[in-house]
Amino acid sequence: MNDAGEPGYNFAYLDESTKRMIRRAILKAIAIPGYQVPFGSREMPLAYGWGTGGIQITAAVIGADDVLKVIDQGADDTTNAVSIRRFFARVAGVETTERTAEASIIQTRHRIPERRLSDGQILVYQVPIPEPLRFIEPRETETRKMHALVEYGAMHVKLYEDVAAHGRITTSYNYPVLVNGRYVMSPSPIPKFDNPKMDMMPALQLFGAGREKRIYAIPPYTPVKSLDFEDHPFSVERSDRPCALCGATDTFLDEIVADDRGGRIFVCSDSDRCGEQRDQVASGDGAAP
Amino acid sequence: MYVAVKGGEKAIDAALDLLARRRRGDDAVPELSVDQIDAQLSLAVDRVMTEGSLYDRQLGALAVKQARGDLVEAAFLLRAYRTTLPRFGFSEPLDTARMALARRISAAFKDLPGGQILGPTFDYTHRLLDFALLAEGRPSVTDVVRHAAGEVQPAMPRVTDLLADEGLIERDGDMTGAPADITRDPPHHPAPRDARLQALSRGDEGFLLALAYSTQRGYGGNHPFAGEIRYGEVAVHLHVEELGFAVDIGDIEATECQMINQFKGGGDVPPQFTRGYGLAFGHAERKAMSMALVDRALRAGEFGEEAASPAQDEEFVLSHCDNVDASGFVQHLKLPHYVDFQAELLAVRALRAAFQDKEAAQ
Amino acid sequence: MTMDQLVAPAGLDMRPGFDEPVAASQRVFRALMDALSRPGRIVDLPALAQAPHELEPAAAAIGLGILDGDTSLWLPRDCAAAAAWLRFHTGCRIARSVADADFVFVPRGAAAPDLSQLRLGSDEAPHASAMLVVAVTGLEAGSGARLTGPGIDGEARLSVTGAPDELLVRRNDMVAAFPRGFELVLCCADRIAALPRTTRLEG
Repeated sequence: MNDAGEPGYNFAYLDESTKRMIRRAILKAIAIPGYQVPFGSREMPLAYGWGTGGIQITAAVIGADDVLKVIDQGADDTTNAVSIRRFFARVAGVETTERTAEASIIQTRHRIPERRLSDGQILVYQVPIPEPLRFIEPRETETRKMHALVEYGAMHVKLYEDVAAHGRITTSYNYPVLVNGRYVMSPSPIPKFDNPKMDMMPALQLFGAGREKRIYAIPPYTPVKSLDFEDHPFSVERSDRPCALCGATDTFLDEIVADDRGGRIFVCSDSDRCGEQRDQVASGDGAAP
Repeated sequence: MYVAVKGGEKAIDAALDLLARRRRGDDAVPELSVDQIDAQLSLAVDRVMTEGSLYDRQLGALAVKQARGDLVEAAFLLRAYRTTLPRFGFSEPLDTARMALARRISAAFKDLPGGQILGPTFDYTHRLLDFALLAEGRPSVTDVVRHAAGEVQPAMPRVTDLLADEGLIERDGDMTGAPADITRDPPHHPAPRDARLQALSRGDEGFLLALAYSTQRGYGGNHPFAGEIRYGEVAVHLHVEELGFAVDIGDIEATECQMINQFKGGGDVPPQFTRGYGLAFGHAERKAMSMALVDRALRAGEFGEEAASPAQDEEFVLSHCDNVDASGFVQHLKLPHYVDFQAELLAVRALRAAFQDKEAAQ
Repeated sequence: MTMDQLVAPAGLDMRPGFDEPVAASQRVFRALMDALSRPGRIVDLPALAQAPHELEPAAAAIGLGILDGDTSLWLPRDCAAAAAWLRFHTGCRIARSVADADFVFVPRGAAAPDLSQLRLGSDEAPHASAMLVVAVTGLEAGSGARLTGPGIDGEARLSVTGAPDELLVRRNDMVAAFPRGFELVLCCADRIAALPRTTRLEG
């Protein structure tokens, strides 16, 4: 088994005792949805803030039969995604893919794939700041109490200040959610466009924050509600244009500056979904743009 | 095809290749050997070992070479290597009273058993650029100095022990039992002093220096005297369960600073001085002194002092002193954030449209 | 009982652990993760050739895959051989009481320990709680008690036979003060089903 990876290193880089420690933290995280479990995060051969939490989770979870997909900003070919995918191909010798449907583990930064994930898939999020209350209260000692006492009033006040100033909630990414009616949780810096995908998702969602040494989770089929107010319900902003490459109108789009005269082009951020859509259009059985 | 704006495997390969060439520099200049770095940039190696929390001069020198002299990057290289090493156990407390001293000074006493040993220090250089060093291959030290540099003084008592014998200063902290290990256990606050000292010892020298300086300027001051600063070689002992006793596994070079701070006491307790402690691998006085000042500042709660200054705020200091953490997170802003930025653009455009509608209606 | 009584009695036949510990540990973990994230689903664990006879093969596999020197294990006092075996292979600490244990194993036929001592964590640190691994004589999905909660699409059914008396009723009481609680893993031969503290169990 060890011969599948990098000579001189254990399968999937981490030593077995580190993996066990992370695995035990993951099990607790699944049992207490949305609660941040502290763990003995290790230094990784990748800078803190660049996905060390996600990498440690993936390394603890992955087996020789897994098929791994890594995305950053929705795309498989962004440099950090390439770097992390190569890392696992090297240290675990696992098969990798760019197809969302074929992956058993998807490690992501800042996006949830557009395609509905299935039961049996695992989505691993890289998390920079796991504490949703951090910018309201910087002290860990305080936020821990706030979670224990379900003291989330300050979070609602912050969201409502937006409503007072701008007539709506202006948080556009890393939009806080309530998991299974108990814990307020950071969904990581995904656009709020992706928030609804978390609710009752059939796949297991695992979140790793390496520098902050926290792991949390959302089991499959778990209610995840974006915080809002009765008179200002949660809503997502959509681009009013289709993807310039595949014509999709239901995806999150990247804006590309085409020239210095205000020209803009919009394309799918999810590169796999965009490619699939283009293939369908080309073969004539998809909706034309 | 606009996916071209996204990076890829080729771009990464090219970047690695360019980096390797930049590291080597001009081929006409001889390559620097790891031995040369260890011998001639030894303080860089010391800092990298301390902040990388791995005592290995050769690997420290290799890290400095590989990182092109970027010491924070070099410390990170050592950390990433260290994390793959098995943990055999923990050593006995270093007995720095038995250190083979190359330097030892006390600012608290004019003279003391063993005397003051100036040793190799920048302190009394005149900071005049030595243009003689520009010329290579010229001996820049006299035979007399070279002889003295090899001379190591015998062990001598620590100033704090002399004071503690009279009860004038608090005793050393409890050193029995297994120490904390901040590389394995997640932090919690308030942290025990051993965990704090570990974090400070690995902490960024610049950050600790600035914090230490702030305590001298009134932000949490505690009237320090440099009781003693010593630098030399000290033996590391490991208790081996199977043998039932501790064995000497080798010597390391270390710098220790014991700050003597304002006295405490009153009521049932006779007044005595308090301590701040600093320890670093190799020769690193600035680091050890800064650490000792910050250690003492962080003990404010223990002594019932008001803790209102940054250096006294444990959660703030410990959460931000690690340069591998800090460097990674500050620099992660280089990673693409265009999905989040796009979400912000959508929000701002929607808000601006609403604003303009309102203006038009008025 | 002292620790010494639980450490390998002299001349003990020390059975082997996993042939390929790295791969097997990963599969044990994934099985446990599957079971905990889909309560009521019955999951197979990697086969273990020769588990100590006191332990259900699934419990033995969980022990080998999850325990190590950073964890403490409680076993009934008449299971010294199994405790010695797990200690030998994993380096786990043997807990003197249920209150000190991260993992509490209850083999088939053994009297259940005093569950009131089980660690449930606190509201600030609910993860500092135990996992209870209990051998049962039968596990059947699709019929029996009704399960709802995270991990379950609508509802699931699980029928458990041969569990210690009142275990499931006691369990429901003990997980009522979420987030405090514990995780229950039911083992039958080399199959498991798990009930995290979030699972509501009726009937």
